[in-house]
Amino acid sequence: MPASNKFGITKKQANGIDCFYLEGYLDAHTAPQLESAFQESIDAGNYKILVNFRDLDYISSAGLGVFMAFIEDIRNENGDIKLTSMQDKVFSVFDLLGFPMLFDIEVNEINAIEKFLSKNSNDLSK
Amino acid sequence: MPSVLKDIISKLKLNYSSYRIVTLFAIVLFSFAKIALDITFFSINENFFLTFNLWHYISEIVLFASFVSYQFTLARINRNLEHNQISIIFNKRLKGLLFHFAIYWTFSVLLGIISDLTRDPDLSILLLYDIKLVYSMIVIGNLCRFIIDWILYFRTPSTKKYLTFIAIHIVIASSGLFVIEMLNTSSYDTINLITGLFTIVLVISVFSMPRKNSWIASLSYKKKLLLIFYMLMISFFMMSDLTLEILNMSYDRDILYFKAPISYSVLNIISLSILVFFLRIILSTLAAWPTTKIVAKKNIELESLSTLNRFVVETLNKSPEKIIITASQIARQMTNAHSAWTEIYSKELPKQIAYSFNISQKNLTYIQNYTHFTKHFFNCQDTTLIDSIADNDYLYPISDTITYAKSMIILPLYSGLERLGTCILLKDTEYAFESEDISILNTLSQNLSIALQNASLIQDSIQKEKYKSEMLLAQNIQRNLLPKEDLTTNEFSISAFTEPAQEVGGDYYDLVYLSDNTPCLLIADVSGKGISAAIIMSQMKGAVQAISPLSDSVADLMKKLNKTLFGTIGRKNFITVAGLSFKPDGTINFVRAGHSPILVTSDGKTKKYMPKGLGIGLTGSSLFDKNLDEVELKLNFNDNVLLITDGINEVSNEKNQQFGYNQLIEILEFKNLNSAIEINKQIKSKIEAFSADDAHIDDMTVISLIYRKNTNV
Repeated sequence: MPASNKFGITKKQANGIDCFYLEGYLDAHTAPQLESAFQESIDAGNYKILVNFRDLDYISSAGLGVFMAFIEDIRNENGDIKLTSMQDKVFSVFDLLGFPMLFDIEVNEINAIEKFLSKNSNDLSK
Repeated sequence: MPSVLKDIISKLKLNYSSYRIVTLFAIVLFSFAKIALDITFFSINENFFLTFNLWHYISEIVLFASFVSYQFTLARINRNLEHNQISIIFNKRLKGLLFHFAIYWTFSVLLGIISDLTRDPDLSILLLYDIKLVYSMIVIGNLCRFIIDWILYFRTPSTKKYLTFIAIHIVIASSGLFVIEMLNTSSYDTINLITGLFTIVLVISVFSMPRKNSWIASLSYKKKLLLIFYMLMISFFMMSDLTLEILNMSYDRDILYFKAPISYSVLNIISLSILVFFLRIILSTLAAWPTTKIVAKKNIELESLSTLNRFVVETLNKSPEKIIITASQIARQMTNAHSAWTEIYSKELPKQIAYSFNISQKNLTYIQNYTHFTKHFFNCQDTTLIDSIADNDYLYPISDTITYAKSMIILPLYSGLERLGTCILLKDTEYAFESEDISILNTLSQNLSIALQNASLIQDSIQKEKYKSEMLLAQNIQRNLLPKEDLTTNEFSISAFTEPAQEVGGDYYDLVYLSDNTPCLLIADVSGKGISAAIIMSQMKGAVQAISPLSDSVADLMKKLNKTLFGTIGRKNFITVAGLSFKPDGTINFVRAGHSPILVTSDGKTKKYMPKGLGIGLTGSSLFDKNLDEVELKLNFNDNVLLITDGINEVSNEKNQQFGYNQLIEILEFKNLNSAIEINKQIKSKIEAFSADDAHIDDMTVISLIYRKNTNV
C-alpha cells in the first residue's frame, strides 16, 4: 500500500518554464497539492510546464486526472505540460491509459526544454 | 417493643400504624381516667391518703411508660437524607420543642405562684397539676423521641450497645432516686451512694457516647448559632423547671402529694441525661466554630464540582454556543460576580457576544471598539485575576464605561486546544475575588473543554451514522446495477465478482448484447474511488445500456461510449474499459480502452494482450477512435480469458510488494480448473493470503471465462 503521505513537489524556473519535481506517491490524497501548484503557475500566466517524474514512485488514476484537468486550458494558451524522466513502472501506468498519445513524454528534461524553446522560436519566426 | 407485644399484634392482625393509633387512644383515655379518678379520690375523703398516693404513683408510671413507648414508635428517621436536609429537619423540631418548653415553663411558674397563694389545696389546683403532668409527659416524650432520632441518624456500630447501657442506668438511677424520694430522707447512704454512682456513670456514658458529630462542622454560622440557642434554651427551661420543683418542695411539704413523684426520679434522671447530651452537642458545635468559614468554602467548592459535573452530562446534546452560555452562567454564579460577558471568537476578530449579565449593550459595544483591548483578552492563555482595575491603565475602556467595576477575572474558554472565547467577570470592589475562585474557574474551564468535545463527538457520531445508512442505501443501489443473472452460456463458463474498497466503488462489469445479438462482456474502472467514482459508474451503466444495441462491434461500442461520456464526466475523470464479445464458435473480439491487459490462456500458455487504446473520457472522438485497436482470436476448448481491474494486480503485502500477474497466470494455467467460478475462488483465496490486511485500498473486479464444449448438445 503506497504511503500516501509521502509526496513532495519542488518548483524551479528555467527559461520561462515552470519545472516541477515530483517525489513519492501521487494519489487521490496528494493530487490536490499538484493541482494547486499547477493552478499557481497558470494564475501567474505561466503556461509552459515541465514535470519531472524521476523521484515519483507511484501514481494512481486520481494523479493522472490532474494532468487531464489542466492540459486543455494550457494548450489553449499555447502552452504545454511535458512529462519527463519517468521510472518504468510509472510510465507503464501512463502507457496503459494511452497517455503517450495525449502528452509529450520525454526521456529527459533537456529534450523537453529544447522542445519548449524550439517551439518558442518557431512561434517567433511565424 | 417486647416480643410478646409483637406476637399479640400479629395475632390481632394489627399493622404498625394501627397499633400506634390504638396506643395513642389508650393513652388519651387513660389520661382522662387518671384525672377523673384523681378528682374522685380527692373529693371523696382526705382520709384515703395512702390509697390516693399509691394510685398516684401507679397511674404515673403507667402513663409515663405508655407516653415514652408511644414516642419511641414514632422515632423513625430516614438515614438516606443528606446532612443539610437533616439539619433543617432537626432545627425545625428543636424550634417546636422550645416552643412547648416555653409554654410548659410559663405554666409551671404560674402554677407555682397560684399554689403559693392558695395555701389550701383545692380541686382546681389538683386538676391543673394533673394537666401539667400530662403536658410534661408529652413534652419530655417528644424530646426523648427527638434525641433517639438524632442518635439513630448519626448511629455508629456501637450505638445500640451504648443505648442499652444507658437505658439500664436510667432505670437503676431513677429507681434509686424514687426510693430516696419515697422514703423522704437522706439517711440511707447505701442507696444514695448507689444512685449517685449510677448517675455519674450515666452522665459519663451519655457524654462519651460515640456519634458522628463531624457534620456539625459543615453547618453555617447561622445554623450553628441556632442549634446552640435552641439547646441552651431548652436546657434552661428544663433546669429551671427542676429548680422550681425543688424550691416548691422546700417550702411547701403539704403540696407534695399533688406533684408527680416520677418527676423527681425518672424525669429528673432523663432530663439530666438530655442536658448532658445537649452539652456535648453544644461543645462540639463550639469546637467547630473556628473552622466554619473554611468548611463553608469547601462546601461551596464541592457544590461547584457537582454543578460542573452535571454541566458536562447535561450539555451533551446541546450546541457549542449554548454550552458556552451555560458555562458563563455557572462562572458568574460561582464567583458571585456583579457583571459578566462572554465573547466568542470566530475566525476573524471582532467576535460576537454570547452572554452578558448586568451590562448594557451600549457599554459592550463601546468596549468592543477598543481592538487592542479585546486582543489583550484573546492573548490571555490562562485564567487571569486582576485585583484592581484602577491600577491597570490599559483597562480604561472598562473603568470608563462600567464605573462600578473595580476587580475582574479574565477566563479563556477552550475546546481541546482550540480557543473559543473569553468570559470576563467583574466585581464592584477591589480584591473581591478570591484565589479559590481561580481554581474553581480553572476546573470549570477544563469541564467546558470536555463538554464541548463530547458534544462535537456526539454530533460527529450522529453524522457518521447518518452517512453510514446513506452509504448502505447507495451500496444496495450500486449492487443492483451489476448483472444479477448467471453469466454462463452453453459454450462459455463465465463468472464475475467485484469488491469495492469502500461501501461503494468505481468498478463496473456487465454483460450486454450488440446489435447482432452477440454477447459482450465489459469491465471498467472509473478513476478515483468512493462516491464520486460510483456516480460516474452509474452514468456509464446508463450509457452502455443505451448504446450497446446500436453498436456493430465491441470497438464501435467503445467509440460510441467515449463520444457520449467525453466532456460529461469531468475533465479530471476517466474510465478505463475492456470489452470482449464472444461467439459460440470460440471467436472472441476484444478492445482495451486504457484498461489493464487482457490475459488469454490458450493451450496452457498465457499471453497478456495490450492492444492500443486510450481511456474513455480522456480525449475526443478523433484521437480516441484513431488509437483504438481491436483484437480477434479463436479460442480452443478449455482456453480461458481473464479480465481484471488494477485493484487486483496492485494488491500489496506487508513488504509493499504487488500481487502482480504471475500468480494469476499460475491459476489460469492450472489445468484442473474447469469452471470460471473455481478460477475466481482461487484468485480470491490467493489475494487474501497475499494481502497485508483485510481492507484493500482499491476496488477489485474479476471476470473469468472458459470456452468449453457445448454441454447441452
